Order: sequence, then structure tokens, then C-alpha cells
Amino acid sequence: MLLFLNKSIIKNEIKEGLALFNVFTGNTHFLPQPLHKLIAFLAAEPCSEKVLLDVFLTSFQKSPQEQENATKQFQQFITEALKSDIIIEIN
Amino acid sequence: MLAQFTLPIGPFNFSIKTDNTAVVKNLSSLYGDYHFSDDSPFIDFPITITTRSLVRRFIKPQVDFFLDEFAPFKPLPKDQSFAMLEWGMNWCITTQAHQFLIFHAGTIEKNNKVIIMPAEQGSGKSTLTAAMVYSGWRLFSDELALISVTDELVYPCTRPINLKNNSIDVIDNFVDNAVFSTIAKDTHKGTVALLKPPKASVERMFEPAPLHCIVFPKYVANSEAKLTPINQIDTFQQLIQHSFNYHILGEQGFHLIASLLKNVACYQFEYSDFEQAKKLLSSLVD
Repeated sequence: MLLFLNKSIIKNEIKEGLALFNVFTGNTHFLPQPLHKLIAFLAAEPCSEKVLLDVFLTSFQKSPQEQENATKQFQQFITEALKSDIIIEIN
Repeated sequence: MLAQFTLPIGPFNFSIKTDNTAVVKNLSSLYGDYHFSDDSPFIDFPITITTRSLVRRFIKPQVDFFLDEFAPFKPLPKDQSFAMLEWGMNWCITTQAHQFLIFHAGTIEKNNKVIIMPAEQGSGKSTLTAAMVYSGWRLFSDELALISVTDELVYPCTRPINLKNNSIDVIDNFVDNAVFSTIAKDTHKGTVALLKPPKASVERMFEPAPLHCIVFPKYVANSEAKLTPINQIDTFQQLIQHSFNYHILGEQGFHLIASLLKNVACYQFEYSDFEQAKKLLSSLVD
């Protein structure tokens, strides 16, 4: 399964992260750092959830506790980004 | 007998027709420093304030607001006629002037630097605006911040300041020789009076200026004046909530806010004392 950035999403960098606007629905979303780098990565090319998680975890220290927290944060991002149509999942 | 005025206000031309003597009297008093004209080639908003039915002229008299032939509001008691005109003018701008991104905000300028102060009703925004513009700041508006989608400048919409309830006495005590409209009681906003804008602001109402700061004001009784920086994500979210037409401008509004935020500082602002407020807001632009 691959994750895509929805083509209706346009983005603007602001100081503490990324502002996203869905031109189809008119909704505005905000992603704080370091989650915003996932959007930049997905904008370049579609990828699997596993690859995306690996990209995200590079922003964190290698301690198991921090990696676990980051993984939880990532899972929450994926759930919410799918729900709000920021990203799309295709088999 | 209908009196008719053509009134240029900032980027707009209003035509106002009325048979209501209170409207004529208040226009003459509060808009005394404006240049009424009879020969404007173009009218943005043709407004009529009039009594619709003969019966209502004599029994519980009421007035109607028309934009062209359209009456967007229910009639109001005659003693609220001037307040109705002012509210109606706001409605005209916020529903139609989409060449601007419009925020519900007090807007003031000093040293060619504009501060917009977006806030909810009852936060003290108009009271603070009135105090500042009678302390050397230029009035753009106590209600609307108009930011052009083409040049990103803030445009003045210099008009009387709408004060409610206790604020009327507070500003009457603060401003020497303040000129107010007739007071409208029992409106949906409580007791309302409009304050004449400073002449210096009226004379410069065609001069836009760049946005310098965004300040979210809040009156907190007995508090020390305090500016607290806020991050751009919170500011962006609050600006959307305080915008009249972000949803209409869509992508254009999104890019405009993002672009503005690159160059401005953003603060929460608590105050209770005008002297402290003056000092702190001036420190942002001096």
C-alpha cells in the first residue's frame, strides 16, 4: 500500500511548521515540526507507511522510549491525515 | 422628502438616501470632516434608510435598511436608525468587498506601521481603538481590517467608532470634547453610541499602509498591560476565525495570510489601563 499526498492540497511553510489548504474542501490544516517533513517527502514521491515512518524516526534520538513515542505520534498523524484527506492510501 | 448624500470612505463610495432626520443629523455631526460629493461617477453601495409603511411612521415607528432594492435585515425601532446605517455599511463591505481579506479587527497606524487587533465582541477592541486614535494613532477602523489581495497593504475604512454600554462613559471621560451620536438604547448589542473619528485620520483615509503587527487584545480588569508573543500556527488559526471572507477567497486568502505572517510579529495583549496600553503598543512601532 502506498501513501500519496492529495493533489488538492497546497502548502505554505510558516515558522513553526506547515499550513495546508485543501482547495477542494476549503479546509485549512496545520502540521507542527517535525511532522511537516513527512508532507515534503510525500510531495516528492508516493511511498509506503514503513518508509515514511523510517524517515520520521531519523528526526529523533535512538533511545527506545523516544522511538516509541515518535512512532505513536506518527500513527496518529497517519490516522488524522487520512481522515482529513491530506494523504490518500492506494492499494 | 428624501435627503441624499454621496460619501467616499476609503476605497468605497456610499450613496445614502434617507427620510429620517436622526440619520441626517448624525451624519452631519459625525461625518462633518468628510467630503460629501454630489457628482461621484460610481457608487459601490446605494443605501436607503427609510420608514417602509405609513402606519409605522406613527405607531412604534420603525426604519428599514435597503441596499439598492434589497432589505437584508428586519426593521429596527426608529431611535436605532443611525446605528442601523452603520451596521448596514459594515454588512455591505463584509459581504461584497472581496478584493480585500477582511478581519473583524480594530486597525490603527503610527509611523506608517499598521497594527490590526482581531477580537471577539466584548473584548474591548473598539474601546482600545478609540483610546489609541485619540492619543496620536491614525484610525483605520474599529471593526474591519481590510487587506488587499493584490498589494497586501491595509486600507483604511475610517468611520465613527461603535461603542457600547460602559465604554461610552469610559471614552467620554478619556477624550476631551468627544463628539457622540445620539445614544441608541435596547439594541441587540445593548446601549450603543458612535464616536466621531479624529479629523487627522479622516484627512488621510485614502492612504493605505503595510501591516506591521497582529495583536489579539483582551481587557482584563486591574491587569498590568502585557504583550505575549504567540506562534504563527495559533495566529493563523485565530485569523481564520476572525475573518469574514477567508472561506470565500479560498486559496487566495490562504496564501495571503501565509505571506503576511512572514513579515509580522504576533502577540496576545492584556490590558486594563489606557496609559500602559499606549506605551506598550507604541513600543511596537517606535
